[in-house]
Amino acid sequence: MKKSNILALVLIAVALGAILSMVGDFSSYETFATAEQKPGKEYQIIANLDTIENKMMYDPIKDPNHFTFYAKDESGIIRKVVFNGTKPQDFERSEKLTMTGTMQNGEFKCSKILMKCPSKYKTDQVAVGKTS
Amino acid sequence: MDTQFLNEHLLPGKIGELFTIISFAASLIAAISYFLSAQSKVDETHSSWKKLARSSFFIHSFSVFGIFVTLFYLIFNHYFEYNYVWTHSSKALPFKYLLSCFWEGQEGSFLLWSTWNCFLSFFIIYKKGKWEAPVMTMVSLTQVVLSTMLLGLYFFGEKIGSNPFTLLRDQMVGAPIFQQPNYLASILDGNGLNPLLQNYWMVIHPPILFLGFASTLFPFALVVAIMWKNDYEDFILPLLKWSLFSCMILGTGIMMGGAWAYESLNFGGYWAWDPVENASLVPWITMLAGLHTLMIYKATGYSLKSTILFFIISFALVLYSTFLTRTGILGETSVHAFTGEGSSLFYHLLIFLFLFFIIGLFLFFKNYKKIPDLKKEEEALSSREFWMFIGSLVLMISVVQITYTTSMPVWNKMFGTKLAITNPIDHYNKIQIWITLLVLLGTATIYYFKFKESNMMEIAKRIAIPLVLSLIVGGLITYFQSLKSIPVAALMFATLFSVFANLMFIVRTLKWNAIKWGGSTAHIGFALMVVGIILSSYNKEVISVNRLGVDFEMGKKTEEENKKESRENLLLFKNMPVTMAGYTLTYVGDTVEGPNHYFRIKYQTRQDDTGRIKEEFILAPNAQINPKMGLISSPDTKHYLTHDIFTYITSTVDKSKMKDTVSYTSQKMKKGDTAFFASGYMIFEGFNTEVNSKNYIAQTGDIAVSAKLQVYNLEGLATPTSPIYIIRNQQEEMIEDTLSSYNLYTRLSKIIPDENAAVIEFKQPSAMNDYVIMKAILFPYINVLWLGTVIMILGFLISLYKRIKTK
Repeated sequence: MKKSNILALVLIAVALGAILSMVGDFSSYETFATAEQKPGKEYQIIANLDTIENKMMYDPIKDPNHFTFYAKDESGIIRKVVFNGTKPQDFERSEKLTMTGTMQNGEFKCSKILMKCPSKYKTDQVAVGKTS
Repeated sequence: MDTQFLNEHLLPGKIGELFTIISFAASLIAAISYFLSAQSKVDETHSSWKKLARSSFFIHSFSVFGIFVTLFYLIFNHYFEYNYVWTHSSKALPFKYLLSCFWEGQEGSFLLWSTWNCFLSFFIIYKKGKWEAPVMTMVSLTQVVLSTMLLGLYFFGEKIGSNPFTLLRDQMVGAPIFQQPNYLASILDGNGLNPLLQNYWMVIHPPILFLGFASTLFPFALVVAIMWKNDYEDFILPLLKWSLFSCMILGTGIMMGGAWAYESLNFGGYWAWDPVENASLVPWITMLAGLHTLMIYKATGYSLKSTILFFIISFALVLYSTFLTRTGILGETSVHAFTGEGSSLFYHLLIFLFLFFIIGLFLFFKNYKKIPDLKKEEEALSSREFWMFIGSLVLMISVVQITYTTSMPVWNKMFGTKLAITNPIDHYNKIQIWITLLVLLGTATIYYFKFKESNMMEIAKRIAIPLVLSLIVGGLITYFQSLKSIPVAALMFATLFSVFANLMFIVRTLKWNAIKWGGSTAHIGFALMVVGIILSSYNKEVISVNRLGVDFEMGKKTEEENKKESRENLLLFKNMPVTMAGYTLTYVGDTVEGPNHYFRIKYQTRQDDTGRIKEEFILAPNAQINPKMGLISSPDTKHYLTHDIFTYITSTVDKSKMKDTVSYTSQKMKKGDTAFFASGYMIFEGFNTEVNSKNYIAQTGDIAVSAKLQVYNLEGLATPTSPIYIIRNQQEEMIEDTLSSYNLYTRLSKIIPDENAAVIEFKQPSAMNDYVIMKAILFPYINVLWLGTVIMILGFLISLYKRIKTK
């Protein structure tokens, strides 16, 4: 066998090894229940904003980096979520939240929220006005 | 009965539709006749088919251009009866952004791609070389597929493509508004362009990127052509030129995207390993790999097979990236994933991808034995070709890893899993950092190796100086920039090694023969880019640390880091200075210009001893509340030579919802007494009976007294204010004084002569109501990244020039 082939094989093995070693970086979207079992471990949770029974709290004058709300995950569990950032614009209108964070003392502390709003990119309503 | 609609402009749309159909038909004829021309063994039929092919391709190009012009005409004239115009533009859009409307929509971007293909094809046709017929067959076939994207016709109940000339009333069938014949009168304005695209980079970045995408077709078509014709002569030079051009343009396009992200998006950087970014990066890397193996083939006769494969993969990856970004499959993983146009586009793009990938692979395996390859003897480990080949393989590892993770949504869809990465940036960085390190070591040393065999002792001698230099300088930078991570420090060393070794190579070997500088220059540029990336991202610092509120357990090692992580947003009340990282920041006001809302933040630095202002500038980040997309915040950046201060708004108050609910506080004050308010305090210094104020016009019989108040901010800076008390016609009157810099209102409501005291009423209302929340990030040495980019592109340009000069 030629040297280049051997080296190529070694490189491919390294590449595969590297990819396999990173399996730990991947996680499924989880629920609050799983996150509760391992406090401190980072999870991604898909949930809906719950505003019916619980209120969201954001007082930027007191602390602009503290925003709390309640979210209901896919299994139906509702937990308080604490986000260390500003309240995203139109948060009330979000349909679905993808939150990254850890569970601590029954609260989900999250550092990243991706929100899906209705009609964020798609527009199916015509803005109608009167000609003046 | 059909309604007769009024005031519609249907003619241009009809013309446009006609163009789309002609462009499709003509490309089909061009593809078939080029194919027949390429297949024919007889000279006469070859050239007669080619003649037909050329004219149909010309008609096709003319129609594509016609579609472009017609669509622009519609957008320019604001004909909102057309869905595309209504969806992607509005009347207020400045002229320069009317072009950006093309790349916002799916139809427009396919059109742009198609236009570039036509444009680039003219270089092939103009050359009239032996590759014209087979290469143009592949190009025309691509154009056939791209034209179907614009057809918007129904075949067997499936809609194929999406026509940019569809009328709004046909798009939204049944909407009540279309029951009025004069519906256009109620559509006052279009939906407008996504505000994030209203940036000058967005005028120029997409066309360049699409030119880069389009250019990958030509190396692909050339390698298909040589395999198809089984003719392995006279292809190296054109292939070299096309791949150099493609690397140069695609590289420029990608980095312009980075510049746009840095200037108008607020994730705080130029690269986020976002799937859309990755999808454009990956074909560039494979193109680079192909370019390098082609150089090996040119010099030694090895590696043609890998070259062919790399160019096939590059084009397939461009198609794959279109598939990823356009079908909406990326869904939750990307900020700028586009919504899909339904399942027909999904399969349409999938067919596009597999059609070309299979053509390439089929020819490759069919002719595997015929593709020239040297019967190798044991190759020398001291040869340039060996290490260049290894370098290309290393690039491919990078491609495999990026593609694997980016495709996660595809794997999820295929296997029904629901996997995602929690921290993409770390995930990519920890592998790519080592790959970049290997690549840099390669770029540093490769020119010191000779093809076939080199003298290792000589190489060692020649690279000794740059090696020692980079160890010293790398050590110094590591120490002074406190790079506390071993991989990062190692990478820093490798970049410097590459810079010094290539500089040395230019100085000692190439000398003033500048036309040969291309490769070394590109390598230096790339290394400098990595230097810029390391310095700007490793020591990137959020300087807007808030001191209010509670801390968060952010999972960091130290308390200090926790604090930092959880308090990155700073609240600024209007006109109340706050200190931050050596600057005094004041939110001084806001302006609305069209859809944009600029918040002016004054940065000041003072001399330590005298307190004199050393430096002052205003940053005006834009934050508009968009009805569709929420808060759209674009940063404003102060550029220094050595660092940037990047500032953006993370939250604002909606002033329309505010009410002035603050009431006056009343306090009895004797001379020398102090009253406190939120942002400072004031001292009563006594009465003044000689009232002289612009607020007060004296009348006869007035008794006027003013209170002398000195207002101090928390730093002890004093400003006087004097509210006035008048008795006029036996009536009490008060003239309020306002101190706008504090937003402080004061009144002198009563004088108590016995005690020589005054009752002062004061309030500081809207200071608490008018504020912004912002974030500021310091990017050190980011200019090195931009400088490196320019140098790298220049390197490609020199190489391309050299190849064009070669006859």
